Amino acid sequence: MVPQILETKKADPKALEKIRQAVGEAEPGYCYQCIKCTSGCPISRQLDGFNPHVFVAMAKMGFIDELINDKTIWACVWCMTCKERCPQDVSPMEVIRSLTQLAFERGIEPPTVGLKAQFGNIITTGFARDFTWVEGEREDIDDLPELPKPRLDKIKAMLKKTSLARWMEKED
Amino acid sequence: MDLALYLGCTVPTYGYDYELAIRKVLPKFDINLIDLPEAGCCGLPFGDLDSLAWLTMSARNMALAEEKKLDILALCNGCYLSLEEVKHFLAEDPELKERVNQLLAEEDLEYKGTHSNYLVLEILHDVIGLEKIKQSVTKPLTGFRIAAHYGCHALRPSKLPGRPDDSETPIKMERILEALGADTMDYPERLACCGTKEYSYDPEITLKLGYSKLKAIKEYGFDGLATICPLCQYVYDYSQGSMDATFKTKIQVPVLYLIQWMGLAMEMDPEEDLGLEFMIHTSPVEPILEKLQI
Repeated sequence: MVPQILETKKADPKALEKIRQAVGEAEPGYCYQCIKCTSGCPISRQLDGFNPHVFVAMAKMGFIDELINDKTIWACVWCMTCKERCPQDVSPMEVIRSLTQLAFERGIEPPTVGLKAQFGNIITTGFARDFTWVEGEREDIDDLPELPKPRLDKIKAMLKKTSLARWMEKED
Repeated sequence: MDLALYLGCTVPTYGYDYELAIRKVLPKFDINLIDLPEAGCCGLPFGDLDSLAWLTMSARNMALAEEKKLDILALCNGCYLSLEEVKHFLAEDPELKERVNQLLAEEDLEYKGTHSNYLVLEILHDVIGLEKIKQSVTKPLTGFRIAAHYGCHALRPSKLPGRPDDSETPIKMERILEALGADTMDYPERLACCGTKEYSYDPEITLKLGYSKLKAIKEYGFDGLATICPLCQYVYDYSQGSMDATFKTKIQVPVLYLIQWMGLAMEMDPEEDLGLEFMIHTSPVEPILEKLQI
């Protein structure tokens, strides 16, 4: 994958600078491609094209456009094994997470509906999970108190000041 | 010790057996739990989308506890790491803290970072301690070999200050299981990720990851698994039916929260106190109760 990109794509240094700022000390430039991250990655073994060392290699060369348009970046399970084992203190997981954030900021939607459903639950109940299906049994248990009731108007007002406002405008 | 009980999203929906057991067991050790009626999501799901939204949602819950001058007990590894990371990031970056506080001002809240966050494992092992746990056991789990599953976010990243246990060779869960009279041992898949987050990308991958661990546990001759996180429990307990259907098998590995194993050793009621018969607990319990003659 990498050699073809070298021949055909242009690097985006501005986007790379953004990723660098987001990951702080876990500077992707320190990566020397030992592949310990991918060797320990539980998703890499299950999903073709999910290779943390390749994501980091591409990021450090500035091929950000390629990366944010690759839907597999959304498959990272955040187990942090890569971050833990990297001998160079790079954090592939945080590189990947800053890539999905950049993708979202640039208007790219996540490839599956899960995150949007969780967002919908949060602005209607304050919680990411759908509460309605368990209310029946839970209410009958005397020793459990009522579920918390956060001030939803306040949570919405906070989230309106983030890039999630994009999803709220569509909701309103 | 007074602690604000922070439930998060998964405990009240798929883990209220865990919540019940915590509310029943911890007060027996002078841990006084105080609810946060206005708490909400820790914001971790927003981590993929927008850092500021994630940080603010976590800081919001911590500010609610700080208003009551309380430290937080988190039941979910995901929530716990989220609170701990956000606390760390905001302590390191005053400018970021200021931005978060500008958003929290919508609710007249201010995040200061003056409290501590605890995970159940820390309360059991470091605060209550193995001696008191041993003394509380009236029905030792003799003859049980139980596998421990810590969950990624209880251990990693080790660079974050104040982690509950060592990231590659944790031991606290095993020590607690031994204090309960159970037998336990290391196994190659001990630190393997449950894959719960993959549910939103490709559920089959989660089921594969969960199934491979349960299968291994069975092969090693364990009688069951102990967890401390509702997200891991969702995979290893609640998803066993889906694994059976997907992989044409019948796994039947008893998976209980560590606090439920503890409650059984303290002769607490499996249903009234530990919620083992709730609809959200789906892995087999009968073999354990039979063996314990309950």
